[in-house]
Amino acid sequence: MMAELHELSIAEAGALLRAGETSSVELTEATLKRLEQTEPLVHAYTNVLAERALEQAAAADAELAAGTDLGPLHGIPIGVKDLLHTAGTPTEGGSRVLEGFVPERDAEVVTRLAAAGAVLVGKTVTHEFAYGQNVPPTRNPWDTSCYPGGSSAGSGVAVAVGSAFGAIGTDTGGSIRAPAAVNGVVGLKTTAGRVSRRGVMPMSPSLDTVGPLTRTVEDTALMLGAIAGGDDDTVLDEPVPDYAASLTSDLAGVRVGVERGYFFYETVSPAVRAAVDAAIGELDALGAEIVEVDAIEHIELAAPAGMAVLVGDTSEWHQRLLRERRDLYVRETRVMLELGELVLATSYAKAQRARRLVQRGMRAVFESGRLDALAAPTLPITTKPVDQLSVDLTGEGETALSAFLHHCFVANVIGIPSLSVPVGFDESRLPVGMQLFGRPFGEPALFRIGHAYQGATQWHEQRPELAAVV
Amino acid sequence: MDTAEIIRAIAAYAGIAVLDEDVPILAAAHANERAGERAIAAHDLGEVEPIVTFDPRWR
Repeated sequence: MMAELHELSIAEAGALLRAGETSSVELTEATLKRLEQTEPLVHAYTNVLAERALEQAAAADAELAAGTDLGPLHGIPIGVKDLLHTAGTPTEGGSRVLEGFVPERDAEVVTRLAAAGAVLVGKTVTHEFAYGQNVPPTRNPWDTSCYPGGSSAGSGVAVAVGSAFGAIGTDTGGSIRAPAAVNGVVGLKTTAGRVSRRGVMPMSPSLDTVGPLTRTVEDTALMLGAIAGGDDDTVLDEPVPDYAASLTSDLAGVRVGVERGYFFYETVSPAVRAAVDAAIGELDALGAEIVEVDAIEHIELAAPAGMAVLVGDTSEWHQRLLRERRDLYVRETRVMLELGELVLATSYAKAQRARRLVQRGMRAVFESGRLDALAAPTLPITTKPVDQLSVDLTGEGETALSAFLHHCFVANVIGIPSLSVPVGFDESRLPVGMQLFGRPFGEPALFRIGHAYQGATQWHEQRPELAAVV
Repeated sequence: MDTAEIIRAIAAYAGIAVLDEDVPILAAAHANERAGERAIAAHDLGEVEPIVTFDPRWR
């Protein structure tokens, strides 16, 4: 059976566009129709730009017809998290604090998407300033009573339901990978300095990253190719490779590490453990060498070090707003911002040193094992009903949210890339994700592994049914 | 001085008026943050270069 337009990958849609079998206007209309069907249930968007999107799509069709091809995103409908500035369009960071704020200039990533010919469908829901722990009414399409992940909740959900072919998110402690995992899509936390953060509402300059969420690893590679690089102070001057060239079907010579302590601790559910183990077995069958590695020295410092830096940096940016508009923040955000004002400078400085210890530990594992990637569950558990998500800032006992940070934060603390791919479901048909950590700027290796895995499995082709609205 | 009073005092010094309803959870979160710092401080960090370093290049 022929897939509907909104179900296609970016690569598939691009092939049809260039073969003259569809148009950008048709892709955009299909996306907007799907958006209209699904938004009442999942609310992935905070602002839909239908008229503008159709104008951009018509322009893309005209350009392609005239022989001007801007690349794989040309004419493709994309969503952008509402932390990224969009000129002339409200950008409120999911908060009443910035209600009505309209930037004058696009974020660098938005500029790059436009230069690549992408069609901006709308702004996707974010947790308040990427900090609030929950964002009703955004809901997980696999079970609408469940948490959609965050903070790039809307981006993950939009891609999962087909109301965008791809979306941009931000990841400071797992905010791309968590929604990718719980919504059954692909998400990439990029290497620090790979993608510009200019025009993105910040949390922490040294922890924040911008990256794509898509339905396939191939699409993630295509999107990263369009947004990587830049010449502002948030970007490191590393050459941008041809990411699509890294997509091969076998894994001969590739070495994938597995650490069975920290990343498979007692909180990891049996369903997650089984799905990730099966995925690792699949990588083995595809020719990768699976390397059981020793414990990663000092990895237990990643969360406390990351938190000290995160709360301090974030509160610095919000310092004036907290004093002038305190009552407009949701309580969880407000308390975290207050906490950041109470962190001692010496705690912050110690945390920056501790990050180096964590980096040394991870590097030692990669070097001694000659690894291309380290495989682990993206999250130790599948998603939970929203009403079971306790917001516990005390650190006494483990919550779902602190368990999420346990697995994700290390990549931000030491700046390495991490790619989350869907690898199965639990007994309630809730998605499971596996993340592949890489070396700094090692995204091509992660794409190679993830793409080969998706070539041999069908988990990424599963779609939430959303029977009530379709 | 109990923890709540300390939190209020530090917050006042920082220039923020903390709502009464926030004080208990803020005190607990602060205690958690301090526990994290103690875990870090248990390591010898004297010769460890901080991970965020100054890049002196002109760009």
